[in-house]
Amino acid sequence: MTYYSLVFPLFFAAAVLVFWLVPPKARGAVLLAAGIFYMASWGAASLGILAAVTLLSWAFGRGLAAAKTTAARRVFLVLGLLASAGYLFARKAVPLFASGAVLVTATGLAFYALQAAAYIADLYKGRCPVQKSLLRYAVYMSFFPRILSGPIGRPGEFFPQLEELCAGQRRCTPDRLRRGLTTMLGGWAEKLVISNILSDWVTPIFARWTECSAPVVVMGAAGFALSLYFDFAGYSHLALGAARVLGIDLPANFRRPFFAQSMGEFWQRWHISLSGWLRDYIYIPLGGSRRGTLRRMLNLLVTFVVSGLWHGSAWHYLFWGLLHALLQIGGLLTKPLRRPLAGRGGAVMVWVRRAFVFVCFALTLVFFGADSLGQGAGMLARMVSGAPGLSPLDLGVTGTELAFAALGLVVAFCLDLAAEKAEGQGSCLYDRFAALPGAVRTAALLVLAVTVLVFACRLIGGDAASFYYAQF
Amino acid sequence: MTKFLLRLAAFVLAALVLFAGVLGLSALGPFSEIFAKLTASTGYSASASEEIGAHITAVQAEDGATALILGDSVCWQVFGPFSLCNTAYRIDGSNRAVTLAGQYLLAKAFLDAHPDATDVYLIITPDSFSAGFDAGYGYQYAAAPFAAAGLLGGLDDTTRAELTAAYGAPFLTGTFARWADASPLVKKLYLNALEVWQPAAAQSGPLVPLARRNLENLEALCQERGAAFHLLCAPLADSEDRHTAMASLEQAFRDAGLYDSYSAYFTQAPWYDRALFGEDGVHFDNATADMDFYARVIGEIQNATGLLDGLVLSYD
Repeated sequence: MTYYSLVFPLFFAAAVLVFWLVPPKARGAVLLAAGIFYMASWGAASLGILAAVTLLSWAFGRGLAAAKTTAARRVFLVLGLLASAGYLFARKAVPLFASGAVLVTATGLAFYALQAAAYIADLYKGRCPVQKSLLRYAVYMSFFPRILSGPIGRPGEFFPQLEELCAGQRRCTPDRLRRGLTTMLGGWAEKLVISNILSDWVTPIFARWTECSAPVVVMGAAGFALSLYFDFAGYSHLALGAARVLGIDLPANFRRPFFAQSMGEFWQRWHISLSGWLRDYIYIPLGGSRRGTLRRMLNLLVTFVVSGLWHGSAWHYLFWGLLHALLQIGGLLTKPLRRPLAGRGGAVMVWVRRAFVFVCFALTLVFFGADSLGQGAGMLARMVSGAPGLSPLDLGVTGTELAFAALGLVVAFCLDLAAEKAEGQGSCLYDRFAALPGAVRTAALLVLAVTVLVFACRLIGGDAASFYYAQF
Repeated sequence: MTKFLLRLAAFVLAALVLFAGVLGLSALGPFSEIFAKLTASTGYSASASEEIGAHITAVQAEDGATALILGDSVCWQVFGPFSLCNTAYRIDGSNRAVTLAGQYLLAKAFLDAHPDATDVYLIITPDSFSAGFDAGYGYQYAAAPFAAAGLLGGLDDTTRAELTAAYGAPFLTGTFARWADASPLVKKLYLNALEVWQPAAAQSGPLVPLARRNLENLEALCQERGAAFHLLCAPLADSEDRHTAMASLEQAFRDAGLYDSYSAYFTQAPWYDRALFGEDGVHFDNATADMDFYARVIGEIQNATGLLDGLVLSYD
């Protein structure tokens, strides 16, 4: 069951209704039941693996909290991390070296395994208290709005909110529902109106890149970057909105990444929950920036290679991670040269820097979207070859569809620009929107809702485009 | 909170009403193509309705035809090339998805427009006897074109009830059929909803009740109008699966007590070398078959049955 299946709105409405109608003490049980039901829709194996990771990580967490000696605590730490992320690591690493190896697929594993590992690590470091209630820990692990593709949760941000909900301190208010549902509507629009059309256009470019002209391959790389962003940001907004309706405020997973002016800043805005996890649980424990430039570069290399491996068990993902490590290291080494230029050039230089970040990201993403290292390298070579070939409208997507996607991109760009400005002034886009006259708001939301309904029709009768990040 | 929930309900209702407006707009002129592209519905064109609609218009034309040849796609492949050189024969082979109910309606429309008609031929392979009102092609071929032409009332009560159970009464009106033909988006939504919800399972077996009933209705109709009814077998590939299908159908005809009335369908079935057929083993291979070949096939059917007298097989 994805956010697009016909049954999801019914499931979600039922879950929300029951959740807010039962006594506060029973809300945890309702969320757990909904999480189990949701995960069961992905198959018994997925549910079983989630249950195993949940039970084992919770049990080792209890053991860690009860351990008296440092040695015992370390044993429980290792056991807890193995229970949390061991299977995920095996699923990602084993196929690299044993191409025939088949490990059972577990939906959402890449996301909830990191949540479990974060809990164990935070417990060890004393950054969060032990969760004695298996039920509440299971809710943390199986919270259905985010289980498919994040945002990756942290115990410190989730458990206090759950406690408040179960104590009746958080209430269902019109503002909470309005914000949550509006966020969900925006997420649907990002995915359905922009990402799906771009994806329908980009997929044949990656599949038939040897037949495409050089400019089309370039457009394919840019289109893939935009498609991936609106796919994942759309999912994240759906998750954030759904969680908000259920009384939980999840942290933002994207903060207008294409407005970043350096690759370092980009990773503070793109897939923030994963970047933050890698920073806190890989980069900083390795020493971060505290042990000299050389060690810092090595730490960056390890962190981004782990990021590549997390995305997929193939060499082209690892290479993608490596490229980003090199970009970070390049940024680090050229920092002294760039420092005198900082703040100069005004708005023009700001947009030049933003364009540079986008180009870097789109070019590295060719290896991410390709099937192999060879394809990625071949596509890059074709971009500069000037080779003739298929034109943009030879790939099964009509000019009308591309025009609508372009219109969606322009609207999204304007909204992002407004959000960037609002954030700079200590506000947020939703607050600005909420301040508009009621009729304007309603009209805008109605147009958005009908647009979403129309574009949702693309999913009917075909292979409904799934969320890109759900595959990880 | 109550006020908010009421507003939310009103918002959802307004969005659905506006969406219904979009569906209405999607049937109008240039919007039809735009919405078809935006919703990936271009594959849901009105081609089926146009195809069967042309046959409906043709059989209703008040011309000098005294005989009608109906049938499936094999019949149309063999007899269709001669449709323009015949004036006494109206040749309107279509396909199996039309079902025997559709064939009955075409025959009725012909007999209504041609009171002096003398013969009605139904030339079909065994596959047509197993065709029911399914969620795939059934609506597009057996229901919508006849609904748009206002002919569904000519069916017997049981068939009408089966049609309603399969497709839903609101969708068997001329208005909806024409709307769906004008809007690929509406047709896409409806046909996919049929696939998901399957209101009634299509009948199955070598001789489905729908086919049997409408075969008998067709015979009775022709008798009532003073026309002779002839059930002939369309050319078959001499292959194991076709022999098996014929044997199953023959047994079903015997079980239904119909064999004696239609034994010629089985005894005079025209068998041809499998190599003459295309990959599907049902239709002749168009790469090798031409007008002369089809004229020879029809000549052999004429010789075997002693029917189809005076059918012109040349444009000379």
